[in-house]
Amino acid sequence: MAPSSGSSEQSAIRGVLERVDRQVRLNSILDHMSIAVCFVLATLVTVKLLGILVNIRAPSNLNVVAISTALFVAFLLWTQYGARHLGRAAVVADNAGGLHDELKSAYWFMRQEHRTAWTETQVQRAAQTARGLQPERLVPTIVPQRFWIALALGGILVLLGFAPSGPPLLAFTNAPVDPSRLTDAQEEQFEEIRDLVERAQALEEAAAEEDQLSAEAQQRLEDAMRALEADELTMEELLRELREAQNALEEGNLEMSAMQEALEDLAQDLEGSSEFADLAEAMKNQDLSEAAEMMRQLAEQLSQMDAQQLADMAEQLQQAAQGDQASMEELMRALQEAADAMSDEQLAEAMEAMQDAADAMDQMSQRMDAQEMMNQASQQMQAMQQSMSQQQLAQQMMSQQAMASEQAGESQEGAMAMPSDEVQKSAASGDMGDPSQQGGPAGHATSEAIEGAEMQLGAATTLEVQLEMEVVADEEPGPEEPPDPEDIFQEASRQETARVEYRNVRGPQKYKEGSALSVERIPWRYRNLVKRYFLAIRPRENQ
Amino acid sequence: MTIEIEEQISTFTDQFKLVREEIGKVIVGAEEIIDGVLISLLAKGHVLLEGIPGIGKTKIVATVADVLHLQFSRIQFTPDLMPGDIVGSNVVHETETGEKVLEFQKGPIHTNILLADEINRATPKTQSALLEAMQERTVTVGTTTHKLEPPFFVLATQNPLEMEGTYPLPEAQLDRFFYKLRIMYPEPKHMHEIMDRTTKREEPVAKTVLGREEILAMSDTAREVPIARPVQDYAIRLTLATHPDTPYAHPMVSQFVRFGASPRGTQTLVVGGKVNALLNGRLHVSCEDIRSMLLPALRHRMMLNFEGEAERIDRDDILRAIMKDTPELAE
Repeated sequence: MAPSSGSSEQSAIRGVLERVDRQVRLNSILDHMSIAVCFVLATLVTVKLLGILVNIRAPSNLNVVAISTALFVAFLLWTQYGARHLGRAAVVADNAGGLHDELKSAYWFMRQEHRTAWTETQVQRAAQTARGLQPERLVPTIVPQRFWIALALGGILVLLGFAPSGPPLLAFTNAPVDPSRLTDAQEEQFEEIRDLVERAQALEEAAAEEDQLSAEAQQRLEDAMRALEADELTMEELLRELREAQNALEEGNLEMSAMQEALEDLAQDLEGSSEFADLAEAMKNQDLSEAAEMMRQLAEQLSQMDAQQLADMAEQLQQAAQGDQASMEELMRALQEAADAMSDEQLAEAMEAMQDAADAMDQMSQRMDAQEMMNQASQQMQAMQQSMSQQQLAQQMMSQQAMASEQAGESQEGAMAMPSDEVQKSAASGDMGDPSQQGGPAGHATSEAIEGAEMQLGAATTLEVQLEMEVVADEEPGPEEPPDPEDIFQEASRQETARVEYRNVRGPQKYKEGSALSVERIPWRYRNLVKRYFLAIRPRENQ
Repeated sequence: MTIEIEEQISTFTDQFKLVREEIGKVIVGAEEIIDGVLISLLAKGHVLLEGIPGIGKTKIVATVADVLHLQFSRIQFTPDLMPGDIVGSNVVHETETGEKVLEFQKGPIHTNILLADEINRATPKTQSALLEAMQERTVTVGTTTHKLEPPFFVLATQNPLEMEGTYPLPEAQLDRFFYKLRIMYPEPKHMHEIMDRTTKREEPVAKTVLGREEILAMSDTAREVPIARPVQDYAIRLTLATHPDTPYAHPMVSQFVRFGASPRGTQTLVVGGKVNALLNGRLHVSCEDIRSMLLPALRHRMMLNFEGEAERIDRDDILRAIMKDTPELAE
């Protein structure tokens, strides 16, 4: 009969193995964590550096950290969750302690139903060995060296945080630019617009206006920005959205003009009375809040006035309230009630009606302020649209310039290629390319636009440019619409004085060549080879 | 019971050391070979010794036989050696009454330790006469099977240089050898010791220190040593790694090996590991024990393919690569 190894021996072995397993898991977690931290920090540093060097749309640091943390936790749960790996711990302990698989063998023998005297003796020996082990010393907690790398990366990231924000250091003029990308200046402009519209909306709500124009514009702006961030909106669509939002904001201007005219009429009606002189002056100055305050003061002074004064005031108010001012219906009704009450010498009702008139003036004042803000927002939108249009225009011109350079490079005869300075000149003067494909009108692509593509684009300088750009933007030719070579030719011929030599004008024939090249099935790297082949087999002059 | 086991282990270790020390009095600088021979003996296996002439192959075997109180026979294998010369034959014997009877005349194989010197010089027919004896430990002559007295231990030698007129051992017979040990040329310091011992008037003589019963008891003790499944699994994976068409195959094996080791190779690893564990005072087999058995146990059980032969790949290099790349724990 084999002697049974006591539970104390088995628990001694298990206890040691569990502690070793804990240490192994801890080291494993630290190791994985160091890799994850290094990876995340390296990603953040890379993104930050790319943001400084080139113009890219980068995810926010918080998003990167949040996603990485979630992934790491999931990874840890996947790898560390579950039953303890005491077999693995036994292997680690054996290797670390030079035990020649004593604990591994003992752990396996312990779990067998059939045991022999030899296995029991082996377990007893292993238990004795296990009691003399110190798992924490056997498998010490190791802080991976990668944490030093992580620390260095963290330092770099902090230093990069102090880097001045500005335009990207590297400008790849030939690199395709993300058309849906707003510049930092444009994003700031957009934020200002949003702020103005929000404040206008607050004022409209305070004025209890039913038809809130700012709310509609606000909704359009939010939708457009969300779509742009989700890459569901192109620059052209964003421009269209901005125009519609602008139209919504400017809708109230007509009503506002009518209100201002009515106020002037009302002021003229009231200025005949000495009691209403100051009030009329305030109305003339469009200062309705001041006018409302004066109306309240007059209402409080009604009890001190004699009958004659009341009659005069009633007459003035009656005259003023007879105007047909649809934009100030509430004010007119209040003035009419005040006039009627004064005529009947009902001072309390007159005071109440004048208070109502003052409230109506306050509301009108808020509406005017709101419209003022909406007009400011509208102006900002206008500037932003111009900036975006110019950006588009510059990009298209640069891409055409790049295409021209490529074609010139492919051509064997250097004389046929347009010199780069001439390309720039012609591009700057708008003589090159198809106007129908440009964001702006031909002939107005100034050299500033090209420079603006490399630096920050500013607002358009002349109204003429703005109007023409709007016309072109409204036309919005489809991107796939093939340009008519005849139009190009005609457009070039319409120049009163030729500023570009005729051979540099892209004629229909040359355009067709370009079109043929763009659909060429021969891979670009073989084109030169094919060209040389055909040059080699061409008939010689003396043949 | 635990004390008995501890005593068994202690006795085993002491007796082994005693034999080793006694052999060491005669043989210089071949500790690994001596250990290999003794492990094979205790594991009930046979050994093929390979080495150039004159480096003491026969001397080792003779000394082992001297130290162990066992019967010893030597057969010098030659091309004209016949199977009957080894196993014995029925001869006509005349009794005192004048009656003639057939009587079995035992050959030199009926011994405890058999030195088969230069085994590759005999014809395959004669070599195969050893097959039954080595595996079954019996000899059949005519219709009669004769059982060999335990322990039966064959120590064969072969010279790897002079291959003309030799008959390389077939794979089936090679597989029956527990170990194939390579005896290397002694180092200079060992050469000095050999000169000092063998060029004087009296040469050192080993005493007999262990009898047949003790050896059989030691063999039984070695077989008692338990092996845990993960360690056994390691031995199996090592063996499977020598097979080119298994998922465990090592890249070198896939390239250079035609056939891998048989299950007998795994048995050798495990049994040899048990003896090695006892020699180190342990009650369990460790992966290290298995690794220490790998080269002598498997080097003669792998057959190289044409590419391996053409590239003159050393089987030991393949086994070392397997040992290096096979993890102790299965993935």
